[in-house]
Amino acid sequence: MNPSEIPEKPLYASMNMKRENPERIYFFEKENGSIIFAKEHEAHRIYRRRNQVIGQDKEKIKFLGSSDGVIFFKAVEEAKVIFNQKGLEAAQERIRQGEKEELEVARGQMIPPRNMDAIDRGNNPINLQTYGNI
Amino acid sequence: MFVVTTDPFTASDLAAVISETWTTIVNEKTFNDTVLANFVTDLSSFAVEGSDIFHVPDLFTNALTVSTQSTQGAEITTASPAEVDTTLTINTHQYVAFIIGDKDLVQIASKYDVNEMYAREARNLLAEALEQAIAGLWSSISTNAIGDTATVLSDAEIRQGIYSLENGKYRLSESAFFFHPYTYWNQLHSVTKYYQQYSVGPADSRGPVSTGNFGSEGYALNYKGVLYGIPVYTTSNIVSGLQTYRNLLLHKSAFGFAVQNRGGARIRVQAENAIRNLGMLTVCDIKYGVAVLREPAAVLLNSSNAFLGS
Repeated sequence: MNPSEIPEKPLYASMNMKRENPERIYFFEKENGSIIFAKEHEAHRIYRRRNQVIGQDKEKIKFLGSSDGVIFFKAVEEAKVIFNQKGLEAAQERIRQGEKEELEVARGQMIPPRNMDAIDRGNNPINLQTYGNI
Repeated sequence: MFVVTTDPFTASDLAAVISETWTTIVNEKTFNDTVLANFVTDLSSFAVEGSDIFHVPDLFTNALTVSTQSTQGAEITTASPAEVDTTLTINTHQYVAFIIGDKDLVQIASKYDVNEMYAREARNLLAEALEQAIAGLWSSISTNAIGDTATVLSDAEIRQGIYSLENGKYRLSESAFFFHPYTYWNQLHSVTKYYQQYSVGPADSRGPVSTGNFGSEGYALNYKGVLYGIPVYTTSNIVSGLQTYRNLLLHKSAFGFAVQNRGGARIRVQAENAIRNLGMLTVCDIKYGVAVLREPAAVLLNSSNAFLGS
């Protein structure tokens, strides 16, 4: 193969057919306007502003809302079909659209991440005083 | 001549005398090797003698400038850029605790040091908690964020990341990649350039297909060789959300952490015979803070786990 013809992207890409379960997702808006999202454990750190950025006042991060992740999950499943019909880029576009749709569903659902400071062996938060699940 | 037997012993008939053996082999929980905490800036040595807040003067935000002496003999202009007082706070104290009652403890087979095994697990859990906290700093990266929820990580993104660091004047010799194993195995190893003979070298060179690494012969401490001269590490502590992995390319000054424990060890393991509970109480704990020290010195390499390269 001529080095000038070397593809930078994979010669072939395929969809990961393993079905991931939908997971609750938490959306935040950073000061620069960018949107970030995180799963519950990490979202708890962001929500409690545990992350520090040296050289700045603590970054102001706005909690936008949370959702169950089902819309995005469905978008990925649709993308698998689109991938077979129209190829990689169309599938990628469907996933990006799914992210936006999930954000719209989450917006305003102000259910914050649970307190993950104390967790049991199953990574679920617990109340240490009663040792019962919250 | 055969003797016909009509009623041989079965295993259930002999159950009372067939023994069972508990082996000395115990399948313990598995953990990632520590890679992030071994690489980024460790301020722990400053925490040995106390304090909760650690100041790190920042001279890079407002830097000295070069002036031109346009008129010979004229008075010079001196510069006095304001320093920025920056701090890292040790604000997290995590622990793992368990107690085993005295009766159970003495009755457990002597070949099993259960307390020690669980203490080891607890210590590793806390080591991973620190790793996860460092990996979780991705959310503060704004300057160099590459890829998105639908990205199949490619060579172009890798080079774009490296360019960002070098363009920011960070030494590549002090930088490293940290990939989630999914990205490493399912996407990076599908980039043709990385495994074709013309980039691997002479025909007798062992490439990634043979070694599983980029120029390294082993997997020790999750080291996976070098990409464009930059060390590569893998860890499943790389954060994910909406099927997107937050892989990192870091200069060592990008992130920092400090751990504070009596005795200086990162993780403290203590056990005591708790009379009040009639049992052996074991507690492992760690006190730490993590922070982004130089945000532009970190590159976020997003990759989707919806795609496989092949």
